[in-house]
Amino acid sequence: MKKKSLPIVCAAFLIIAMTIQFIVSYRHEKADLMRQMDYKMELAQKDFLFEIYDMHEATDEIAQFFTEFNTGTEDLCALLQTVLYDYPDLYCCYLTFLPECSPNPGQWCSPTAFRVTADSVIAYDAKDCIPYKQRDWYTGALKNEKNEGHWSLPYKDGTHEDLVFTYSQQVYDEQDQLVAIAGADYTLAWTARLLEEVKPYDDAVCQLFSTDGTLIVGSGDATKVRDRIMFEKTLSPTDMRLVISVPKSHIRRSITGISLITLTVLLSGILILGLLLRHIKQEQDAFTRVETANKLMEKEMQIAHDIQMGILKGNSLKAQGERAELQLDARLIPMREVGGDLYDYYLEADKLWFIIGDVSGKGVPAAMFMSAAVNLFRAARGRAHSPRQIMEEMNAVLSENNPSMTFVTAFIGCLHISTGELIYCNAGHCAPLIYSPVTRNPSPVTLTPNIPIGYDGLFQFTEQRAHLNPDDTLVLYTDGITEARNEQRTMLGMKRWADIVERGQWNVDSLLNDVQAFMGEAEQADDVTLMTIHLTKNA
Amino acid sequence: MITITFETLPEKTCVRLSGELDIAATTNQVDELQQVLNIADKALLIDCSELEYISSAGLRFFMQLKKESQAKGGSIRIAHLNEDVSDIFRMSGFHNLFTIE
Repeated sequence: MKKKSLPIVCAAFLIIAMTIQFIVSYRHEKADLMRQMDYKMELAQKDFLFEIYDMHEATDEIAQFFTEFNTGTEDLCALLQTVLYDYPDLYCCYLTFLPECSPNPGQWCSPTAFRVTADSVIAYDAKDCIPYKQRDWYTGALKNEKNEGHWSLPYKDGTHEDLVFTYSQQVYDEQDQLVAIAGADYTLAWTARLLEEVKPYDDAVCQLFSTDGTLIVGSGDATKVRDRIMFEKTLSPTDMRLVISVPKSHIRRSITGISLITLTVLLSGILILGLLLRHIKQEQDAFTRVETANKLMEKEMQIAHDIQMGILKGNSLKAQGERAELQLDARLIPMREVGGDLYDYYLEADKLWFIIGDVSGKGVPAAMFMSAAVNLFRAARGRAHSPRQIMEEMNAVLSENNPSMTFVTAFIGCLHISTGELIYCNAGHCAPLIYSPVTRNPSPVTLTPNIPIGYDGLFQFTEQRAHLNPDDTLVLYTDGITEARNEQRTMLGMKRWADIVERGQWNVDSLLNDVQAFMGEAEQADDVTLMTIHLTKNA
Repeated sequence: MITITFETLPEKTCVRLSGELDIAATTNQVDELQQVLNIADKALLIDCSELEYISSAGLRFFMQLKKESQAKGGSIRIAHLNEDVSDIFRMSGFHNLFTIE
């Protein structure tokens, strides 16, 4: 499963990398966009300032008229009319004399021109029709320094339905004496239109604020400040502030470059990862099913192992004969859970009947054949009179229907405990060794191989005889021992096996330890079975 | 691991077995061994000069081969067994079942 997590890790890594890439490029683009917006805002503010600077110029012009022409009220009215023609966006302009400097001393005099329609202008002396001293443009301009203009707040001037606001400045005579205030008005509606014209984006809102923070005019609603990006600039020299704002969503809508491509790739990446994970999940499920099946199989094999080990007799027997004592030890170590090796024995009066065998092949098929063989051997108990008879009976049954050509090599013996006389019949099994403490040389019993059982049911086996002296040991084994290999793949062989037997004699554990020592770390390649039968004199 | 080579002569087919015929070979090389079983109707000379080792699983293959051969009317002769393999044939009684040269 480790292998499968690799693509997930890679994909996740890729997605993280792309997410970082997305964030970086998004920020980069956003910064770019902000710079671009800053620039546009500045342009808009300049445009606006340029437009309203007309008022400043207009009042300058009026002041100049006065100084240059120094003419009467009627002429001034005509001149003011020309100013409105020159500045078509102006609504109104006037020159209001301080009463003490008025052409009619002590009287208010204020030549005024204002726009009636787009191309119709009228001019007259407003005299005392206007409460000058209550007007911010008048009082404010008076308070100012020389040459310092004054921007009024919007107010109702009585001639126009809309609010107006005024730029006003002081006017001096030749003696540099303050004589009048010149003013020029814009309507708020016109200003609002102007703001609309200069706004850099369709979703932008432009607002004009006075010095004290009062909203003079705005082109839209910008009350949700938190959702908006604000650009603010003081319109020097007016002291008014122009605030242009765009909704934050404007940024999202405007970002179309690399980050959008990255986002697309990112989303497809996540989709692919999702599909991948689903695929892996399905594979995992399949794996789990197989694993469950394997576990079940393992459990069944364990049960089979237990059954097979149950079929085998206990691994140790002591028996007392009239003149001798017998010690039998046996071990079976299957290569897999179950194996094809077999051994069995039983006592009948003074006789020990025993069998050791090896079914060709491994695993379950061999184990099934093995259990049949053991049962056939046991079935002969009580009525068999010779190993040969048992061998032939087993052979006849096992050969009857054996399509897989499985066969058993077996050695069946009958040991008379009191006399040490051994009668045996061999079916292709490897020759047991007899170890005598006198000769100290394990030697194989003389053997007629005959043929393995399970193949030719009519085969006539030969029977042989040998003799065990007191203290002799008969060592029976399967080829799993002599053909055991070490890490260099060298086989144990008869010579080394005989040496081991000489050292260990009838001690089964010691013999098997020596075989294991020879094998080292090499894996067991075959079932291993060992049975020793040791005879001692009665004490 | 067993390597099998075939040589068709006018009067017989020579099957040369090289390597080890053990449980691993009989389990993992079923297809190759089946090729030998497929021509069991012929007169086969099994050349074992390069057969280094045979286990009981390998012997079972010979058993199967003999059965096939008898069923299909072929014949089997085994030749050039080395000493170790010959011992195994002898000890297991297989020399009683085959014609060994």
